Amino acid sequence: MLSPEVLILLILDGAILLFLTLSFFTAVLIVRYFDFSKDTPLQYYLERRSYLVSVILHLSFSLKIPLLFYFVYTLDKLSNVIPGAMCAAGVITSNSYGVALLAVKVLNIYLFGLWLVANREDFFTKEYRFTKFKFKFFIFIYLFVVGEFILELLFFKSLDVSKVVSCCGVLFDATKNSTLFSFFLLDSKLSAGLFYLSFFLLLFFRKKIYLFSLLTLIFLLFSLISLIQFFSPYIYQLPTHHCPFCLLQKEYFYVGYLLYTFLFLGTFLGVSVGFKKFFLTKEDKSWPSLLFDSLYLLVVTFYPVWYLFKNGVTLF
Amino acid sequence: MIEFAISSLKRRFWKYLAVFFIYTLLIWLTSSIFLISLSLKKELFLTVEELPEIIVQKTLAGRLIPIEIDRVEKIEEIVGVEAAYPRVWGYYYFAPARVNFSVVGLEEIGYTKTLNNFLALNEFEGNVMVVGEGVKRILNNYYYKEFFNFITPSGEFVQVKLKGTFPTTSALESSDTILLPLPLARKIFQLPSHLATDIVVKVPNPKEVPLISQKIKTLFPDSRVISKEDIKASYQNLFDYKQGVFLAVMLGAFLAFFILAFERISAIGQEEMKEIGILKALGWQIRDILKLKFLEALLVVGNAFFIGIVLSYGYVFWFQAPLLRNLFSGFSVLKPTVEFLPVWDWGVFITLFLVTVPLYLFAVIIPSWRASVVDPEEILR
Amino acid sequence: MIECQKVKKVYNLGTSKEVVALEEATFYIPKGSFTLLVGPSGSGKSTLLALIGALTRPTSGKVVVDGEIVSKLPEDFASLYRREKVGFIFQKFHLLEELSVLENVVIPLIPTSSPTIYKKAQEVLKRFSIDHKAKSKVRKLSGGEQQRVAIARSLINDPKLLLADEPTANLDKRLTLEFIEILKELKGEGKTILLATHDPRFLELDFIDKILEVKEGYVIS
Ligand SMILES: Nc1ncnc2c1ncn2[C@@H]1O[C@H](COP(=O)(O)OP(=O)(O)O)[C@@H](O)[C@H]1O
Ligand SMILES: [Mg+2]
Repeated sequence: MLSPEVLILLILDGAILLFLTLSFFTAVLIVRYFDFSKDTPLQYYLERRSYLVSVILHLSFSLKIPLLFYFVYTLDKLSNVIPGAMCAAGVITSNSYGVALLAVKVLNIYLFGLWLVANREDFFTKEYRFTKFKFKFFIFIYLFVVGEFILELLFFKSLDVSKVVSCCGVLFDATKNSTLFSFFLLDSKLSAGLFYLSFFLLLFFRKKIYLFSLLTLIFLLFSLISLIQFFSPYIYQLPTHHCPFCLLQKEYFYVGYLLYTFLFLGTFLGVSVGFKKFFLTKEDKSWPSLLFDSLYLLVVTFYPVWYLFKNGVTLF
Repeated sequence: MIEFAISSLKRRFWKYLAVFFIYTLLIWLTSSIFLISLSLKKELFLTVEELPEIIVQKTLAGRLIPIEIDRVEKIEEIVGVEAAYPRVWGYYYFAPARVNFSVVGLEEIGYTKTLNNFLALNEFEGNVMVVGEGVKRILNNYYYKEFFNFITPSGEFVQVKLKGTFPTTSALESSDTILLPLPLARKIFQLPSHLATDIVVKVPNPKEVPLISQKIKTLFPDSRVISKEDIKASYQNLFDYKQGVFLAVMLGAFLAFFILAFERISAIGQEEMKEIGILKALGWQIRDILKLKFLEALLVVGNAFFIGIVLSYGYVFWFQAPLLRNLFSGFSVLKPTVEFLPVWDWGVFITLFLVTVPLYLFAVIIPSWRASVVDPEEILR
Repeated sequence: MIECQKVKKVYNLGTSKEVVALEEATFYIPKGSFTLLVGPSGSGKSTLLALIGALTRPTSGKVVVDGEIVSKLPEDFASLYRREKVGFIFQKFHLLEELSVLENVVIPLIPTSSPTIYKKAQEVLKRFSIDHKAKSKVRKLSGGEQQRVAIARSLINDPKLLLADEPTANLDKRLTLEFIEILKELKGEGKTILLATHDPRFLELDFIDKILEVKEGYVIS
């Protein structure tokens, strides 16, 4: 597939990969030779390189976020070309790399974010305390970035305009037990229940940072499942329409952007407090995370309540 | 900080002017190409929108051949089909000008709205024809003012009176078209009365289109069924492909540019080196210098982007893209009458933004960083 | 105020171009004092100032300024330290010639992005009576005016410590005397001043508290 959008995605991701590869070599050098007590030219050089990596990561991170949305936009656009696909969901499941690619993309944004957190803390200490840690962490991230790029290449390469794919109506249909998302197919009400339960657990354990971070991951998981299974039909006002991508379209007032921003920001902050405490020995409050989690919860809860208010019945 | 960045740019005006100029030019070019192709696409889609939902053709040994008219009734019997019409149309090669005219035969009822409106207003019988603007121009060049002589496959002449020109809604659709009464069209193509070029099917509910297509296919296995969606998809594909190839070429130019920008900006002069050393000795942190450098870069690229886009809008939609249009209107000699319809598409805007701005920022990462880590101690020497 | 313990600086350590610029130096400079750093060119005066101003780190030893260990600061913290506590006056003033007087003077405060920086700048300019030239380019000023701009710039962050590296090397006698007057005034305000020079005229001043002599990297009190 050579559409301008795909080309741009590949080029920008390629550029990011190129600069991260450069950073990777720096990371290896720093992990091996960094020693703040030394006064050698090499040490000064490494300290300065550390700033370069920091700039690169900042830029990559701020680019990766719009690129994620752009990726979904591209898929949406490709869905016009690929027979059967009505939105991004059909395109992304049209070959076996799509879902993994999207997951890795989101994961990498989280990882970049965590790296920047570590970087910030490092620059706040007067002795470069976390420099070695953050570069070890970077080497770990780098592997994922390479993985993402390979997956992306494979994904676009194996997109086939002549193959008929399923639209989101079929993909997320619980009765048909379709392939990739079968894991997501909990009963609608159960998924909503688990979602609210995990949120109350978060509230309850907000002081126990490690548990809080762990629960945040569970909260994220149930948020996504319940979004597909329970909330999206209310948003679309159509009991059979379960799709996490159509939310991003104009017909639904782009509410998806709002929802995903709250959800990802909230859960990122939730993971990051645990990360900070464990690796950076810094205690942070959990309320910013809870704030965004709650905002997400409020917006998403609004839809069924409104539906009930308007129509007097529930969908499930 | 922003004031400092601006004054810093001013002081190195000449250094940045070339970068700014070339960048604006490149953005303008890319954006113009996107806009032209987008505008053409919009035009094409307007045309496609008018098409019937399904077109049924007949194939033999993989090639299209005329289809039997009695199939129309059988298709109309399918549930969900509102109506089906046989069409007679084809291409007529006008050797002197070496162009193909699209010749379309019409019954009383046309199959598109514009045609219907037009026919309602005009008497349309006997040896008369109505032509598009482009056809008229060409015929005039060859001194056919009142009538035109068609030559049938068997070599006979058919004289047809030119009755008028076609109302133009969308230039791509009509410019090269000749409309004739159906019997006349049959005569010119020597098509027997039990045959038609193809059959068009009207389906009110678009959701039923795939199913009905399937049924027609089963009913007549030798037919080829094309839906409007198929046509749209293939056009989209074609345009995307064209744009993609073009972009790939453009990126070559961009790359060349980046090397230049990189050269320019990374060549931090002695003067600038000293200046940054002073700033750092006076308490500026590395991140402050980086902020300064990226502000400078953003000012350059932001303005270039804005100006480039505005220029390309003016160029394409105001001046109708002189020169560049030739590159695109290679469809046929008749097409240059196309008037570009203004378009605004956030997607394209964002695409343009993504292809230009972040890459510039990437290009200045290393030079900026290099500037930011200048050793402040040097200025004591 | 300034405490140096066995401070040693070797440039290009671990390479074939090693240069010992400063041997283990130990001394103390009290708050509010005026200290002269004398010695021939190449003896290590600038190196010592760079170490105290945290423009570089010592190979070994420790520098403590105002209770803060500045010999072991990462670069950004070193910048912060200079911004908050140090004023620099350089040999050739190192003003940005194409900028106006006002723009030059605010430079140290730009990163703080505080809204009052221009007001502060006006004040210091007034103090050295060059506020009438605030809008003119530094390039167009006379040597004496440039000197006053440089001093104004070094004082805009209200530093506790003033470091001057051969500030009068390019000045004639009259301007040197004018400069000395200003120094005296600043010492009166309680600033700690460290001035490196090889101009013997300074040795005769009556308000010197301490003289450090630097010879081939060795510091002798
Ligand atoms: N960046 C550097 N790299 C290598 N050698 C240096 C560097 N800076 C200073 N030196 C050396 O250190 C010694 C002391 O220099 P400096 O402190 O500038 O002396 P002064 O200021 O007294 O003239 C000199 O021999 C000089 O060559
Ligand atoms: Mg010196």
